[in-house]
Amino acid sequence: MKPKSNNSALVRIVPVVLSFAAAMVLAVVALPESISNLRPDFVALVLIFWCLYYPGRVGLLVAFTVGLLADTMYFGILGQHAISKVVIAYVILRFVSDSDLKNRVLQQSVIVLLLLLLNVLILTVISRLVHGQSGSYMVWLTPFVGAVMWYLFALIRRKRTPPRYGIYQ
Amino acid sequence: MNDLRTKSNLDLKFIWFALIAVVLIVLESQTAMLHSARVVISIPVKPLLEVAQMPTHVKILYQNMFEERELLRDLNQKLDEENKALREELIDLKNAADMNEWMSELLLASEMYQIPVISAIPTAIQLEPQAQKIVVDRGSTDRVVLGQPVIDHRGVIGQVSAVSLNDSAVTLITDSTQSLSVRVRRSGVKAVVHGLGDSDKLRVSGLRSEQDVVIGDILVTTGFGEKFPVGYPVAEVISVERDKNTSFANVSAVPLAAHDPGYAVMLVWPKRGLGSDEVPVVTLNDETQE
Repeated sequence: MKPKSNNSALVRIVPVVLSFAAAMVLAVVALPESISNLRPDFVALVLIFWCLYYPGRVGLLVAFTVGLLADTMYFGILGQHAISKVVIAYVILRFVSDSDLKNRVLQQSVIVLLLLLLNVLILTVISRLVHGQSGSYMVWLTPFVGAVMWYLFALIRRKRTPPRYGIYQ
Repeated sequence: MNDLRTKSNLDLKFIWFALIAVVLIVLESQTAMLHSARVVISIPVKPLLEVAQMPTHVKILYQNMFEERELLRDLNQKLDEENKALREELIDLKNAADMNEWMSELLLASEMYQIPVISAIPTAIQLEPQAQKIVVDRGSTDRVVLGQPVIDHRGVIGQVSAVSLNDSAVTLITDSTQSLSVRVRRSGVKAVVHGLGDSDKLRVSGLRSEQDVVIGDILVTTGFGEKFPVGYPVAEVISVERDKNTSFANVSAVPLAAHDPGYAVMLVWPKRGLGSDEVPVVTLNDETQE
C-alpha cells in the first residue's frame, strides 16, 4: 500500500499539491462580479475529490493544512476554513468513502451538494460568531453551482475510465 | 481500511484537529496573538496570490497593446488631475492637523499630531464572495498594522483587517461589519455611518428628524474612538427621509473613495498613543469648526 520508492511518492503528492494550489488561485482570481459571487469553494471540491477517489492520499492533516493556508490566502479568520475542511474530510473518510459510489454520478453530486452546504454552514456560523454578522445569502447558492460542476466532471471522468469491476445497479 | 481501529483513530484525529481549529478561531477573535502566525503562514501562499493576479495583468497588457497611446494619455491626464487634487487635500489635511495639534498642545499638551502615510496599490485579488474587502500590496514588512486606516484623496476607504508578509486586506467602510462615527461638515451634527455590504451605499444613523442634514452634505470623520484623521471626508448624503412617526431621520449616503484597482491608496499611521486621548480632540474639533 505504502509507496516504496521516492518516485511513486512524488507521483502521489504532486497532483494533490497542484490541485489545491489551482483551487486556491481560482478562489481569488478576479472575475466579473456576476460570476464571482457564484463560484463554489474550489478547495472543498478538490478535497472531496481526493477523499472520495483516493482516500489514502489525503487525510485530516492535509485538510487542516490546506484550510489554514486558505484562511491566510483569503485574509479571513484563521481556523475558519481549517475546521470546515477537516469536517468535510472526516465525514467522507468516516462515513462516505467506499467504492460503491465510484460510478454513481448523481448520488455523488448529491453528497457533494450536502458537503458543500455543510461547508457554507460552518463558515457562516463562524463569521457570525466572530464578526456578529455574516455575508449575503448568495453564498448558499454556491454549493448548488459546485454540485453541478461535480456532476459534469464526474460524467466526463466516468466516460474516460469505464468501470473495471462489475456494474452496480 | 474500515476496521474498528482505523475508525477510532480517525475519530481521535478529528477531535484533535477540530479542537486546534477552534482554539485558533477563539485566539484570532479575542487576541492579537496570531498576527505573526498569519505572516508566517502567508509566505507559501504568496506565489499563489501572484499567480491569481496574472489574468488581470495579462488583460491589462492586452488592452494596452491596442489602445496604449490613447489609454496612456488619458491615464496621464487623470493622474495629473488626481495628483493636483491629492496635493490640495493633503494641504487641507495638514492644515486641519496643524490646527488640531496646536489646539491640543495648547490645552492638553498632548503629543505631536503627525500623519505619516505610505501609498499602496490595490491588487487584483478578489476575496470571498460578497465581502467588501480589497487586498493592497503592503504588509508587515512595510510595518502595516491591524486596524490601520486606509484613505485616498477623495475620502476614507476602510481599515486594515488582516496583515500578511507583503500584502494586507482592507475591510471597506461599506462592509456590513463596519461602522464609523462621522459629523456633517456643514452643520457639525454627529452621526454614525454603517456599511450595508453594498459597494455604493451607506446607512447613516443617529440623526434626529429636526437635525440639520440635507442631500449633498459631506460627512467627515470625527476621530472619536477611531484611528482616522479628524475631519476627513467619508461620504456624501444622497437621501434624507423624515418620517413623522419616528423621531429619527432615514438617511443614506455614498462613499467618496473609489479604490479602483491600479490607483494608489494611502495607509495612514495615526498619531502615536493610538486611542489614548482622542476624545478631547473631538470636542475641540467640534467647537473650532463652527
